[in-house]
Amino acid sequence: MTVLLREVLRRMPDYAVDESKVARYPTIRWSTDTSRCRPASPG
Amino acid sequence: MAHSDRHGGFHVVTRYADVRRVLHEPATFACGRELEFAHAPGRRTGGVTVPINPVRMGMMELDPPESQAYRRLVAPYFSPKAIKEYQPRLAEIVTWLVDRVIGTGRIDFVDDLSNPLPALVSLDYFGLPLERWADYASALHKAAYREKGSARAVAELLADLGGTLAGLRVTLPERRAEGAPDTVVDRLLGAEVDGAPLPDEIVTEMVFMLLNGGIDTSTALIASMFGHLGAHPARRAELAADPTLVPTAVDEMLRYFTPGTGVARTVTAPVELGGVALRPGDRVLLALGSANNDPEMFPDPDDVRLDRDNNSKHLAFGSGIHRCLGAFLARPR
Repeated sequence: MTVLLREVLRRMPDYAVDESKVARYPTIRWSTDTSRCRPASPG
Repeated sequence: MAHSDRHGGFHVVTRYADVRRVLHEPATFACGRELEFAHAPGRRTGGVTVPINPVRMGMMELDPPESQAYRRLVAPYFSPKAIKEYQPRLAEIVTWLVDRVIGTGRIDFVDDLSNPLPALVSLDYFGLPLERWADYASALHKAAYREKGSARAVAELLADLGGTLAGLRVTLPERRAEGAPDTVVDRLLGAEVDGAPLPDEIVTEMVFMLLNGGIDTSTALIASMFGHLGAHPARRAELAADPTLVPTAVDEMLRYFTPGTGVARTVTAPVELGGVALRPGDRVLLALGSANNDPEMFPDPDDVRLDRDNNSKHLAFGSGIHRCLGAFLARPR
């Protein structure tokens, strides 16, 4: 990743993202907030 | 901790400290697929995913001492020294990919970089034919996202891989006679356990595990990373101006986007975790992405900080005896 990132920053440092084509791969984010989950049984 | 009744029931471990503890207590939290418990005679499904993978994931789904015996076979190929020696070739592949599109003024990061790069590097490093990268990558992406038809795609990949490995086994003596350095695949094909070669199906399983671990995860992270930096030009400019920040930035991307979001274990002995009493046979899903978002470990976790001082402590590669072998290949410094 570092090699690729350095190469892209060096050769196309001002790239712009076409937002209409983003989200080909869904980004999944997790939260430590489990308030919407059923609490684990204490035993 | 949370709990779901689905897939036979499992607890979800969300806090960094709890997730890390489970990863570092392999005797209490096992990876094996077929575990037996005195209080529940008969074999029980385990493994490292919920629900269970259709294909065993090599040593990822084995426990010590077997898992470590297999890991020792290939570990030398993933040491910092070995990866450093591969850097010129890695740079060559990266440059070639960028060269292909730089003159057009447009680039699709997924099609042109994040999809081909991990597949090409993995196949090249392991010693497999590069021309199959698109088929292998496609099957592994389908499997990761549980797309319709993914089971068939994986079965076809395994059959193809098995045939390729059988061919490489035949030509192994020839390569060695010519003095060709062993690749990861050659190492596995030439390995012996108790005086007998590793069976073809074990070699196939091991190579499949390595490909599965290295391809889709890296594709997802690279795409997320360039998407993020595209949306935050100030951060990108900061990195371009000071490339010494790049390694820390990559760790922050691994923490923030954590491509492998969860891994499972099976409890083997009574234990308390996160205030919950667990019994042998209970399943726990370690939410790696959640652990990497734990404010007790990473203050203001939703903020991307390219210079965050502890972001190398992230659990995107797991931790402990099953830590991702390919971490040094994915994150060369």
